[in-house]
Amino acid sequence: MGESARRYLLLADEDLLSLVERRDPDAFAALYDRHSRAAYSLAYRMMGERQAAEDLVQDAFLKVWRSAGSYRAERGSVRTWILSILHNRGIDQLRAQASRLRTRERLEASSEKTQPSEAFSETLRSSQREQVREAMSTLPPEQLKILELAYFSGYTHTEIAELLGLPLGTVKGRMRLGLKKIKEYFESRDLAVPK
Amino acid sequence: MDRQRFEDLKEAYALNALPEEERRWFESYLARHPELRREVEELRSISALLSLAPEEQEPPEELRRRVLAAVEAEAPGRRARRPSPAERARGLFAGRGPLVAAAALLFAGLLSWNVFLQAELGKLQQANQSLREQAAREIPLRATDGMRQVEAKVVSVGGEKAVLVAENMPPAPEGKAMQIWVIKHGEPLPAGLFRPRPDEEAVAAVIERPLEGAEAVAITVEPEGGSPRPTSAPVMTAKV
Repeated sequence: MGESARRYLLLADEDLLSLVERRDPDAFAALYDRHSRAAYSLAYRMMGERQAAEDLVQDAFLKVWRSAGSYRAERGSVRTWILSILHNRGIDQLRAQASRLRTRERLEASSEKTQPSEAFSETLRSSQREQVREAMSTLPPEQLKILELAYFSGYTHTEIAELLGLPLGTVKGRMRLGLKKIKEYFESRDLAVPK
Repeated sequence: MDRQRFEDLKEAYALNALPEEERRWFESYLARHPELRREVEELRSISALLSLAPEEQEPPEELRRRVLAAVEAEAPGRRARRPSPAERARGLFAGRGPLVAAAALLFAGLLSWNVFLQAELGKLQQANQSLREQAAREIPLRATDGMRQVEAKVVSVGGEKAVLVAENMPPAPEGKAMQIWVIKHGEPLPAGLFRPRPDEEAVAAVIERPLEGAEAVAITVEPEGGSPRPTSAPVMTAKV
Protein backbone atom coordinates (compact mmCIF):
# COMPACT_ATOMS: atom_id res chain seq x y z
CA MET A 1 0.00 0.00 0.00
CA GLY A 2 1.35 3.42 -0.94
CA GLU A 3 1.99 6.18 1.56
CA SER A 4 -0.86 8.32 0.23
CA ALA A 5 -3.33 5.43 0.48
CA ARG A 6 -2.24 4.83 4.07
CA ARG A 7 -2.81 8.52 4.84
CA TYR A 8 -6.42 8.16 3.74
CA LEU A 9 -6.97 5.60 6.47
CA LEU A 10 -6.85 8.27 9.15
CA LEU A 11 -8.85 10.97 7.40
CA ALA A 12 -12.28 11.68 8.86
CA ASP A 13 -15.26 10.46 6.84
CA GLU A 14 -16.30 14.04 6.07
CA ASP A 15 -12.84 14.80 4.62
CA LEU A 16 -12.94 11.66 2.49
CA LEU A 17 -16.38 12.61 1.24
CA SER A 18 -15.13 16.09 0.27
CA LEU A 19 -12.41 14.39 -1.79
CA VAL A 20 -15.00 12.06 -3.32
CA GLU A 21 -17.03 15.11 -4.29
CA ARG A 22 -13.91 16.26 -6.15
CA ARG A 23 -13.92 12.87 -7.92
CA ASP A 24 -11.00 11.24 -6.09
CA PRO A 25 -11.36 7.45 -6.57
CA ASP A 26 -8.74 6.65 -3.88
CA ALA A 27 -10.75 8.56 -1.29
CA PHE A 28 -13.83 6.68 -2.45
CA ALA A 29 -11.97 3.37 -2.03
CA ALA A 30 -11.05 4.33 1.54
CA LEU A 31 -14.67 5.24 2.26
CA TYR A 32 -15.85 1.97 0.73
CA ASP A 33 -13.40 -0.03 2.85
CA ARG A 34 -14.58 1.77 5.96
CA HIS A 35 -18.32 1.26 5.48
CA SER A 36 -18.83 -1.64 3.09
CA ARG A 37 -19.04 -4.20 5.87
CA ALA A 38 -21.89 -2.35 7.63
CA ALA A 39 -23.57 -1.70 4.27
CA TYR A 40 -23.30 -5.29 3.12
CA SER A 41 -24.53 -6.59 6.49
CA LEU A 42 -27.62 -4.38 6.25
CA ALA A 43 -28.18 -5.26 2.60
CA TYR A 44 -27.92 -8.96 3.32
CA ARG A 45 -30.30 -8.63 6.25
CA MET A 46 -32.84 -6.84 4.05
CA MET A 47 -32.56 -8.85 0.85
CA GLY A 48 -31.90 -12.26 2.38
CA GLU A 49 -29.52 -13.50 -0.31
CA ARG A 50 -26.04 -12.65 -1.51
CA GLN A 51 -26.54 -11.58 -5.11
CA ALA A 52 -29.35 -9.16 -4.32
CA ALA A 53 -27.33 -7.82 -1.37
CA GLU A 54 -24.28 -7.25 -3.60
CA ASP A 55 -26.37 -5.46 -6.22
CA LEU A 56 -27.89 -3.24 -3.55
CA VAL A 57 -24.48 -2.33 -2.09
CA GLN A 58 -23.09 -1.53 -5.54
CA ASP A 59 -26.12 0.59 -6.36
CA ALA A 60 -25.89 2.50 -3.07
CA PHE A 61 -22.13 3.16 -3.29
CA LEU A 62 -22.41 4.38 -6.86
CA LYS A 63 -25.02 6.83 -5.62
CA VAL A 64 -22.53 7.93 -2.92
CA TRP A 65 -19.91 8.49 -5.64
CA ARG A 66 -22.29 10.43 -7.88
CA SER A 67 -23.98 12.56 -5.24
CA ALA A 68 -21.39 13.11 -2.50
CA GLY A 69 -22.22 16.81 -2.66
CA SER A 70 -25.73 16.21 -1.34
CA TYR A 71 -24.46 15.06 2.07
CA ARG A 72 -25.40 17.42 4.92
CA ALA A 73 -23.35 16.98 8.09
CA GLU A 74 -26.07 18.51 10.29
CA ARG A 75 -28.41 15.63 9.44
CA GLY A 76 -26.12 12.88 10.72
CA SER A 77 -22.84 11.09 10.18
CA VAL A 78 -21.47 9.96 6.82
CA ARG A 79 -22.10 6.37 7.81
CA THR A 80 -25.76 7.09 8.61
CA TRP A 81 -26.07 8.86 5.26
CA ILE A 82 -24.59 5.93 3.33
CA LEU A 83 -26.73 3.41 5.19
CA SER A 84 -29.87 5.50 4.68
CA ILE A 85 -29.22 5.59 0.91
CA LEU A 86 -28.89 1.84 0.96
CA HIS A 87 -31.92 1.40 3.20
CA ASN A 88 -34.19 3.58 1.05
CA ARG A 89 -33.16 1.79 -2.12
CA GLY A 90 -33.61 -1.57 -0.44
CA ILE A 91 -37.10 -0.67 0.73
CA ASP A 92 -38.00 0.47 -2.80
CA GLN A 93 -36.78 -2.83 -4.20
CA LEU A 94 -38.59 -4.91 -1.61
CA ARG A 95 -41.83 -3.06 -2.20
CA ALA A 96 -41.47 -3.32 -5.95
CA GLN A 97 -41.14 -7.08 -5.89
CA ALA A 98 -44.30 -8.49 -7.41
CA SER A 99 -44.25 -11.63 -5.36
CA ARG A 100 -42.79 -10.96 -2.01
CA LEU A 101 -40.60 -13.69 -0.68
CA ARG A 102 -40.69 -12.16 2.74
CA THR A 103 -42.39 -15.06 4.36
CA ARG A 104 -43.65 -15.14 7.89
CA GLU A 105 -41.11 -17.84 8.74
CA ARG A 106 -38.18 -15.76 7.60
CA LEU A 107 -39.37 -12.83 9.66
CA GLU A 108 -40.02 -14.90 12.71
CA ALA A 109 -36.47 -16.20 12.51
CA SER A 110 -35.20 -12.66 12.17
CA SER A 111 -35.49 -11.69 15.81
CA GLU A 112 -32.72 -14.14 16.62
CA LYS A 113 -30.37 -12.46 14.19
CA THR A 114 -30.35 -9.18 16.06
CA GLN A 115 -29.75 -10.58 19.49
CA PRO A 116 -26.52 -9.24 20.92
CA SER A 117 -23.54 -11.26 19.89
CA GLU A 118 -21.44 -12.76 22.64
CA ALA A 119 -20.10 -9.72 24.38
CA PHE A 120 -16.71 -10.78 25.54
CA SER A 121 -15.24 -7.55 26.75
CA GLU A 122 -16.05 -4.09 27.90
CA THR A 123 -13.79 -2.76 25.19
CA LEU A 124 -15.85 -4.31 22.47
CA ARG A 125 -19.14 -3.37 24.07
CA SER A 126 -18.10 0.24 23.80
CA SER A 127 -18.46 0.15 20.05
CA GLN A 128 -21.63 1.64 18.69
CA ARG A 129 -22.69 -1.58 17.07
CA GLU A 130 -22.55 -3.38 20.37
CA GLN A 131 -24.45 -0.59 22.10
CA VAL A 132 -27.19 -0.74 19.50
CA ARG A 133 -27.49 -4.50 19.77
CA GLU A 134 -27.62 -4.24 23.51
CA ALA A 135 -30.30 -1.55 23.29
CA MET A 136 -32.34 -3.79 21.01
CA SER A 137 -31.96 -6.74 23.32
CA THR A 138 -33.84 -4.75 25.96
CA LEU A 139 -36.97 -4.62 23.78
CA PRO A 140 -39.79 -7.11 24.36
CA PRO A 141 -39.93 -9.53 21.40
CA GLU A 142 -43.29 -8.22 20.19
CA GLN A 143 -41.89 -4.67 19.86
CA LEU A 144 -38.64 -5.84 18.29
CA LYS A 145 -40.47 -7.90 15.69
CA ILE A 146 -42.58 -4.95 14.57
CA LEU A 147 -39.56 -2.66 14.24
CA GLU A 148 -37.78 -5.33 12.20
CA LEU A 149 -40.76 -5.98 9.94
CA ALA A 150 -40.91 -2.28 9.17
CA TYR A 151 -37.21 -1.46 8.94
CA PHE A 152 -35.64 -4.51 7.36
CA SER A 153 -38.49 -5.97 5.36
CA GLY A 154 -40.19 -2.81 4.16
CA TYR A 155 -43.69 -3.56 5.41
CA THR A 156 -46.00 -0.63 6.08
CA HIS A 157 -47.79 -0.43 9.42
CA THR A 158 -51.08 -1.57 7.84
CA GLU A 159 -49.36 -4.57 6.24
CA ILE A 160 -47.80 -5.51 9.58
CA ALA A 161 -51.18 -5.32 11.28
CA GLU A 162 -52.62 -7.62 8.63
CA LEU A 163 -49.67 -10.01 8.72
CA LEU A 164 -49.73 -10.40 12.49
CA GLY A 165 -53.50 -10.18 12.90
CA LEU A 166 -53.24 -7.17 15.21
CA PRO A 167 -55.24 -3.94 15.37
CA LEU A 168 -53.43 -1.10 13.59
CA GLY A 169 -53.39 0.89 16.84
CA THR A 170 -51.44 -1.90 18.54
CA VAL A 171 -48.82 -1.89 15.78
CA LYS A 172 -48.41 1.89 16.05
CA GLY A 173 -48.22 1.64 19.83
CA ARG A 174 -45.47 -0.99 19.67
CA MET A 175 -43.50 1.09 17.19
CA ARG A 176 -43.76 4.06 19.54
CA LEU A 177 -42.72 2.08 22.61
CA GLY A 178 -39.89 0.31 20.77
CA LEU A 179 -38.25 3.53 19.57
CA LYS A 180 -38.81 5.15 22.96
CA LYS A 181 -37.11 2.27 24.70
CA ILE A 182 -34.04 2.43 22.45
CA LYS A 183 -33.77 6.16 23.15
CA GLU A 184 -34.10 5.56 26.89
CA TYR A 185 -31.34 2.94 26.75
CA PHE A 186 -28.86 5.57 25.58
CA GLU A 187 -30.16 8.30 27.88
CA SER A 188 -30.03 6.10 30.98
CA ARG A 189 -26.34 5.45 30.33
CA ASP A 190 -25.50 9.05 29.52
CA LEU A 191 -24.65 7.97 25.97
CA ALA A 192 -25.40 10.13 22.97
CA VAL A 193 -27.63 8.47 20.40
CA PRO A 194 -25.12 7.64 17.61
CA LYS A 195 -25.68 9.70 14.46
CA MET B 1 -57.23 16.96 14.53
CA ASP B 2 -54.33 17.13 12.10
CA ARG B 3 -51.91 17.41 14.99
CA GLN B 4 -53.35 14.27 16.48
CA ARG B 5 -52.88 12.47 13.18
CA PHE B 6 -49.28 13.68 13.05
CA GLU B 7 -48.66 12.28 16.55
CA ASP B 8 -50.27 9.03 15.51
CA LEU B 9 -48.07 8.57 12.43
CA LYS B 10 -44.68 10.00 13.35
CA GLU B 11 -43.00 6.75 14.49
CA ALA B 12 -44.17 4.85 11.42
CA TYR B 13 -42.89 7.71 9.26
CA ALA B 14 -39.48 7.54 10.99
CA LEU B 15 -39.37 3.81 10.26
CA ASN B 16 -40.31 4.41 6.61
CA ALA B 17 -43.45 2.34 7.24
CA LEU B 18 -46.22 4.63 6.03
CA PRO B 19 -48.23 3.77 2.94
CA GLU B 20 -47.63 6.23 0.11
CA GLU B 21 -50.74 8.34 0.69
CA GLU B 22 -50.14 8.78 4.42
CA ARG B 23 -46.48 9.54 3.78
CA ARG B 24 -47.41 12.35 1.40
CA TRP B 25 -49.88 13.78 3.91
CA PHE B 26 -47.28 13.57 6.69
CA GLU B 27 -44.61 15.34 4.66
CA SER B 28 -46.93 18.12 3.61
CA TYR B 29 -48.00 18.64 7.24
CA LEU B 30 -44.35 18.69 8.29
CA ALA B 31 -43.57 21.26 5.60
CA ARG B 32 -46.26 23.52 7.10
CA HIS B 33 -44.95 22.99 10.65
CA PRO B 34 -41.16 23.30 10.61
CA GLU B 35 -41.12 23.46 14.43
CA LEU B 36 -41.88 19.72 14.42
CA ARG B 37 -38.92 18.79 12.23
CA ARG B 38 -36.51 18.39 15.09
CA GLU B 39 -38.68 15.80 16.79
CA VAL B 40 -39.05 13.86 13.54
CA GLU B 41 -35.29 14.05 12.88
CA GLU B 42 -34.65 12.59 16.31
CA LEU B 43 -37.05 9.72 15.67
CA ARG B 44 -35.35 9.08 12.34
CA SER B 45 -31.93 9.00 14.04
CA ILE B 46 -33.20 6.42 16.50
CA SER B 47 -34.76 4.26 13.81
CA ALA B 48 -31.57 4.54 11.71
CA LEU B 49 -29.72 2.80 14.55
CA LEU B 50 -31.42 -0.39 13.45
CA SER B 51 -29.11 -0.37 10.43
CA LEU B 52 -26.23 -1.27 12.76
CA ALA B 53 -27.98 -4.25 14.31
CA PRO B 54 -27.66 -7.01 11.67
CA GLU B 55 -25.16 -9.77 12.16
CA GLU B 56 -21.95 -8.71 10.44
CA GLN B 57 -21.28 -10.11 7.00
CA GLU B 58 -17.98 -9.72 5.15
CA PRO B 59 -18.59 -8.25 1.69
CA PRO B 60 -16.96 -10.34 -1.06
CA GLU B 61 -13.70 -9.04 -2.54
CA GLU B 62 -15.21 -9.36 -6.01
CA LEU B 63 -17.88 -6.81 -5.07
CA ARG B 64 -15.14 -4.35 -4.05
CA ARG B 65 -13.41 -4.81 -7.40
CA ARG B 66 -16.69 -4.28 -9.25
CA VAL B 67 -17.64 -1.12 -7.37
CA LEU B 68 -14.16 0.42 -7.61
CA ALA B 69 -13.91 -0.41 -11.32
CA ALA B 70 -17.25 1.33 -11.95
CA VAL B 71 -16.02 4.38 -10.07
CA GLU B 72 -12.64 4.41 -11.82
CA ALA B 73 -14.46 4.37 -15.15
CA GLU B 74 -16.30 7.54 -14.16
CA ALA B 75 -13.34 9.33 -12.55
CA PRO B 76 -12.01 12.29 -14.55
CA GLY B 77 -8.58 11.65 -16.12
CA ARG B 78 -8.80 8.07 -14.97
CA ARG B 79 -5.65 6.04 -15.02
CA ALA B 80 -4.92 4.00 -18.12
CA ARG B 81 -5.73 0.36 -17.52
CA ARG B 82 -2.60 -1.55 -16.59
CA PRO B 83 -1.90 -4.40 -19.00
CA SER B 84 -2.06 -7.89 -17.54
CA PRO B 85 1.27 -9.75 -16.98
CA ALA B 86 0.55 -11.92 -20.05
CA GLU B 87 -0.04 -8.83 -22.17
CA ARG B 88 3.16 -7.26 -20.89
CA ALA B 89 5.14 -10.39 -21.74
CA ARG B 90 3.66 -10.50 -25.24
CA GLY B 91 4.63 -6.85 -25.75
CA LEU B 92 8.15 -7.49 -24.52
CA PHE B 93 8.85 -10.27 -26.98
CA ALA B 94 7.00 -8.86 -30.00
CA GLY B 95 9.29 -9.00 -33.11
CA ARG B 96 12.22 -10.53 -31.24
CA GLY B 97 12.25 -14.13 -32.55
CA PRO B 98 16.04 -14.91 -32.32
CA LEU B 99 16.24 -13.37 -28.89
CA VAL B 100 13.39 -15.57 -27.74
CA ALA B 101 15.16 -18.72 -29.07
CA ALA B 102 18.36 -17.88 -27.16
CA ALA B 103 16.38 -17.14 -24.06
CA ALA B 104 14.63 -20.52 -24.38
CA LEU B 105 18.02 -22.36 -24.36
CA LEU B 106 19.17 -20.41 -21.36
CA PHE B 107 15.84 -21.08 -19.69
CA ALA B 108 16.21 -24.88 -20.17
CA GLY B 109 19.62 -24.79 -18.43
CA LEU B 110 18.29 -22.74 -15.58
CA LEU B 111 15.32 -25.05 -15.24
CA SER B 112 17.40 -28.09 -14.24
CA TRP B 113 19.37 -25.98 -11.72
CA ASN B 114 16.05 -24.74 -10.39
CA VAL B 115 14.72 -28.30 -9.91
CA PHE B 116 17.72 -29.06 -7.68
CA LEU B 117 17.23 -25.86 -5.69
CA GLN B 118 13.49 -26.48 -5.29
CA ALA B 119 14.17 -29.90 -3.77
CA GLU B 120 16.56 -28.35 -1.25
CA LEU B 121 14.13 -25.57 -0.50
CA GLY B 122 11.33 -28.06 0.09
CA LYS B 123 13.39 -29.84 2.75
CA LEU B 124 14.21 -26.56 4.48
CA GLN B 125 10.59 -25.41 4.41
CA GLN B 126 9.48 -28.68 5.95
CA ALA B 127 11.99 -28.33 8.76
CA ASN B 128 11.03 -24.68 9.27
CA GLN B 129 7.29 -25.48 9.39
CA SER B 130 7.88 -28.18 11.94
CA LEU B 131 9.88 -25.78 14.15
CA ARG B 132 7.22 -23.08 13.80
CA GLU B 133 4.45 -25.46 14.80
CA GLN B 134 6.36 -26.38 17.90
CA ALA B 135 7.21 -22.84 18.89
CA ALA B 136 4.61 -20.36 17.75
CA ARG B 137 0.89 -19.80 17.31
CA GLU B 138 -0.45 -17.04 15.10
CA ILE B 139 -3.80 -15.35 15.68
CA PRO B 140 -4.96 -12.91 13.02
CA LEU B 141 -6.52 -9.67 14.24
CA ARG B 142 -9.77 -8.53 12.72
CA ALA B 143 -9.88 -4.92 11.64
CA THR B 144 -12.90 -2.80 12.39
CA ASP B 145 -14.42 -0.87 9.53
CA GLY B 146 -11.79 1.84 9.14
CA MET B 147 -8.66 -0.32 9.04
CA ARG B 148 -9.57 -3.03 6.59
CA GLN B 149 -6.29 -2.83 4.72
CA VAL B 150 -4.21 -3.42 7.81
CA GLU B 151 -2.97 -6.96 8.27
CA ALA B 152 -2.02 -7.80 11.82
CA LYS B 153 -1.51 -10.88 13.89
CA VAL B 154 -0.53 -11.90 17.37
CA VAL B 155 2.35 -14.33 17.35
CA SER B 156 2.44 -16.21 20.61
CA VAL B 157 5.71 -17.90 21.45
CA GLY B 158 5.62 -20.78 23.91
CA GLY B 159 2.39 -19.60 25.57
CA GLU B 160 4.10 -16.99 27.75
CA LYS B 161 5.34 -14.31 25.39
CA ALA B 162 3.60 -12.79 22.43
CA VAL B 163 4.35 -10.21 19.79
CA LEU B 164 1.99 -8.14 17.71
CA VAL B 165 3.01 -7.78 14.06
CA ALA B 166 1.15 -5.38 11.76
CA GLU B 167 1.51 -4.37 8.13
CA ASN B 168 0.09 -1.20 6.56
CA MET B 169 -0.79 0.23 9.96
CA PRO B 170 -1.28 3.98 9.47
CA PRO B 171 0.75 6.33 11.67
CA ALA B 172 -1.01 7.31 14.89
CA PRO B 173 -2.47 10.85 14.87
CA GLU B 174 -0.37 13.64 16.44
CA GLY B 175 -0.16 13.21 20.22
CA LYS B 176 -1.62 9.69 20.08
CA ALA B 177 -0.29 6.14 20.20
CA MET B 178 -1.66 2.69 19.54
CA GLN B 179 -2.31 0.79 22.76
CA ILE B 180 -2.57 -2.97 23.06
CA TRP B 181 -5.10 -4.49 25.48
CA VAL B 182 -5.33 -8.04 26.75
CA ILE B 183 -8.90 -8.81 27.80
CA LYS B 184 -9.33 -11.17 30.71
CA HIS B 185 -12.69 -11.89 32.35
CA GLY B 186 -14.15 -9.06 30.28
CA GLU B 187 -11.63 -6.58 31.71
CA PRO B 188 -9.25 -4.78 29.31
CA LEU B 189 -5.72 -4.70 30.74
CA PRO B 190 -3.07 -2.39 29.23
CA ALA B 191 -0.41 -4.45 27.45
CA GLY B 192 1.92 -2.02 25.68
CA LEU B 193 2.11 0.97 23.37
CA PHE B 194 3.50 1.43 19.89
CA ARG B 195 3.68 4.20 17.34
CA PRO B 196 3.76 3.13 13.69
CA ARG B 197 5.97 5.50 11.68
CA PRO B 198 4.91 6.90 8.31
CA ASP B 199 7.99 5.46 6.59
CA GLU B 200 7.62 1.87 7.75
CA GLU B 201 5.14 -0.58 6.30
CA ALA B 202 5.47 -3.17 9.06
CA VAL B 203 5.66 -2.76 12.80
CA ALA B 204 6.17 -5.20 15.67
CA ALA B 205 5.43 -4.67 19.37
CA VAL B 206 5.83 -6.89 22.41
CA ILE B 207 2.58 -7.71 24.21
CA GLU B 208 3.49 -6.98 27.78
CA ARG B 209 1.10 -9.42 29.43
CA PRO B 210 0.83 -13.19 29.10
CA LEU B 211 -2.07 -14.36 26.95
CA GLU B 212 -2.83 -17.32 29.14
CA GLY B 213 -6.47 -17.15 30.25
CA ALA B 214 -7.17 -14.15 27.98
CA GLU B 215 -10.32 -13.95 25.90
CA ALA B 216 -9.17 -11.36 23.41
CA VAL B 217 -6.53 -8.87 22.31
CA ALA B 218 -7.52 -5.42 21.08
CA ILE B 219 -5.82 -2.25 19.82
CA THR B 220 -7.15 1.25 20.45
CA VAL B 221 -5.87 4.75 19.67
CA GLU B 222 -4.99 6.45 22.97
CA PRO B 223 -3.17 9.56 24.22
CA GLU B 224 0.61 9.30 23.74
CA GLY B 225 1.43 8.02 27.24
CA GLY B 226 -1.31 5.39 27.18
CA SER B 227 -4.50 5.09 29.22
CA PRO B 228 -5.36 2.90 32.21
CA ARG B 229 -8.66 2.04 30.49
CA PRO B 230 -9.63 2.30 26.81
CA THR B 231 -10.96 5.71 25.84
CA SER B 232 -11.93 4.79 22.29
CA ALA B 233 -13.45 1.89 20.39
CA PRO B 234 -10.96 -0.77 19.23
CA VAL B 235 -9.53 -0.50 15.73
CA MET B 236 -8.50 -4.17 15.70
CA THR B 237 -9.47 -7.18 17.76
CA ALA B 238 -8.68 -10.88 17.98
CA LYS B 239 -10.30 -13.61 20.01
CA VAL B 240 -7.60 -15.67 21.66
